[in-house]
Amino acid sequence: MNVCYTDTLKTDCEDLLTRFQVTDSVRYEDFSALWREMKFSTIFHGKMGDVEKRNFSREALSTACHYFFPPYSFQIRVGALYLLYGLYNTQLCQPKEAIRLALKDWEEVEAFQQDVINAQHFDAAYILRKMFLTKVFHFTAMPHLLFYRIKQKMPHQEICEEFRDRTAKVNTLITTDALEEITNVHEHYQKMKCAISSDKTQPDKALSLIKQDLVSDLRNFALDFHEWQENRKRKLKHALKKEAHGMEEEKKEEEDGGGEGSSQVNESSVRAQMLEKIKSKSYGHVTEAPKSRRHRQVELESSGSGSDQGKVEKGGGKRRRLAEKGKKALKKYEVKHEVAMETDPQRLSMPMIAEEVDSDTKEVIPPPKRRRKR
Amino acid sequence: MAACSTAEANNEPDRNIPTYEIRDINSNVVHVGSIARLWRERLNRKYFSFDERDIDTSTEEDAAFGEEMGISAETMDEIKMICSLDTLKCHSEEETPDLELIPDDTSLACLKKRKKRLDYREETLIIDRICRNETYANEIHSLGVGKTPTHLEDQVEEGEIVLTMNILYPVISHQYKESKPLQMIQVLGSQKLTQLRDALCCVSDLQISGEFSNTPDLAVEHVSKDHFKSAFFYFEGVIYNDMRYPECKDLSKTILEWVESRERGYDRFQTAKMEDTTFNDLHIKIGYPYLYCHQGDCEHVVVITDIRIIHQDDCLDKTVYPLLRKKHWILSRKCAVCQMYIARWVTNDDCFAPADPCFFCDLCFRMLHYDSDGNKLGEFLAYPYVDPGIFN
Repeated sequence: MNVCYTDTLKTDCEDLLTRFQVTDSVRYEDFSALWREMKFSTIFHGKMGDVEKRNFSREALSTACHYFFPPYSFQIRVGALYLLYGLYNTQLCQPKEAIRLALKDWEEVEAFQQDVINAQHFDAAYILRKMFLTKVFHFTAMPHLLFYRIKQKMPHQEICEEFRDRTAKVNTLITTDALEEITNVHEHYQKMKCAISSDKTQPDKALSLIKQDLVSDLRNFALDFHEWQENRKRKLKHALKKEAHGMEEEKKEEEDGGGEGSSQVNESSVRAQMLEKIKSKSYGHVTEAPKSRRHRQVELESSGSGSDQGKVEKGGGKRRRLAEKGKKALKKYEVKHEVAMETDPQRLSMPMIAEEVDSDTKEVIPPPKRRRKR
Repeated sequence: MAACSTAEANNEPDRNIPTYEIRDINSNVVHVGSIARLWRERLNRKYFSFDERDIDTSTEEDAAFGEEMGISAETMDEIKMICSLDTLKCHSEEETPDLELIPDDTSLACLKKRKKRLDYREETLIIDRICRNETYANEIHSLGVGKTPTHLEDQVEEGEIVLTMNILYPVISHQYKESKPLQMIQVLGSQKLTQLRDALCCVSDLQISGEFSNTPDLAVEHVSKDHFKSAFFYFEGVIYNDMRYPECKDLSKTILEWVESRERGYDRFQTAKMEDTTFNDLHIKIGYPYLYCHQGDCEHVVVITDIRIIHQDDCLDKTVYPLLRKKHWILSRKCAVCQMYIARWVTNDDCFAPADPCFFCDLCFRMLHYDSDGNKLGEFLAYPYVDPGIFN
């Protein structure tokens, strides 16, 4: 008698969220257009007993709620908010089945709300606030009901990879293993070059086609990025705390405005540790920059080595850069076409790895000048 | 969802915030009362207060939102229009779709599955009758929903905690020991453990002990509940005894002595009084099994499945709690003779009965075993029988 809807609910929700992801927008208008196109409110139709109706509503809300939290990207989380709004209001039970919100997830919801307000997505902010005021949520201790069912394996909702936040993807790309492999290939390549050169100890000048310090550069970039992420997270958390204590105005000006996608706990700390491990192996040395770049030496400034000064400078520069970019990116609600820039966290505030931006920050390796001889 | 945030210098994770101890099974030990405090610290009071139903405050709220965000009135109106509930309607104004029918051209996986199920049922259904279990469940559900108190002092406070717990069948019962809970009860955080104890209905409380074949009329005197009033709850290393009446014994003494007699791997258990403890004082794990023992050896496993802040759609009348939310329907045993009335007597070694043991209703029992003067005919042992379905 009891039909299990877990997998079908997952399919339908992901279907709608994928279509929303494709629109590259966070506007509720776009979402509701998709909702109407798919006739999503009919998901509650069909002859069902009261008990079944209630169980189904509860499961639908629980499935949609899963997409509302990290590690999903900001756009998916906004989509999940709209989806929850839709499902709650179109369900057929009386009294309505509520959405469960656990204590441990409150921080993330609050940070999300702050992100949305800072980025001036008025429709999302309005909907979230409306949901709070119409008492849509049950404030609970734990996210799900717990019955101590050790024998029955509860289906654990898996994370949909397509919706994962891209800011975590850098860390998954540049891992210990990947760097090790690249090093090995690099060394092998060097050896091959030496083997075919006239001087067996070093490769011919004519064969130097790539950057010599490729691996250490990659590692530096990854570490930089991770540190920058951590910094932003810390700043945002700090800003939230300060706000709670009433020092609203000052902090808002100081901190950046484009705060989407920054407030999430991700596995980057684990990656950082792995990267630290690589560093301690054989890349502790600093390669000397070529003669043409002597005025800009490479600085090792990751945690554990390098001068603190370098760190502080970099932090300050980055903050300034972010603040500028954030302010530029804050668009009014009416201007809808800038949506792409607003919602893309990487484009917004990812530190640009190019020379011309700032001169007082650490060395940024210029794009390699390739001398191709065909 | 991340179970615990990375500890930062200026932000230590509060130890009272519940997290999973074993994922999807149970939580770590939490103090019930602090959950309410933690939520109150974080939330705007309006998020959990009880509204006057007939007053619509949405226009003021929208205006306040507009002011906070710094948007003009026209933009505010635009937002309101774009986000209104009408945008969720999937059918035009003229169509009023039949909520029971599923359209054939649906693209949703859930509907396809449901349609398949409904079509299958249509083909194979022989008797079309409302499921009795569901009717029963609905009846119980309606006991608690949306009840407002007659007196204002009986109203539950805003921000009060509601605990939901499953009481399982007594461990001695063969059939449903592990699968179906006997009942699901909701209690308020401010209520005492004794209130829960009084609300729990177990058939062993009503047993009448003694053999009454010679004196059938004396059977309806005292039930076990009156004789043996002791009971205890066990939560997280503390045993809470019911000591309200002078006859109540400390049932936990034996257990405490057993724990202390050797190195058993448990910390020393403590005792406390059931009538002095409220649910807010408890330290428990959510989703973890605990014990309720009464009648000396009738033990029920108690699992607290949920703790949350009370919502305005819940029952708001304090006097109704502890509230029964779900109960397992137990089939009553009928008389072996008439098959109509519920059994009140059970006999053993009965020369008149076709089976041992055999169940009879009062009328049939007397007609079969006694003559018109009330004299016992034949040899048998008769015991009063209390049917477990008595609470239906």
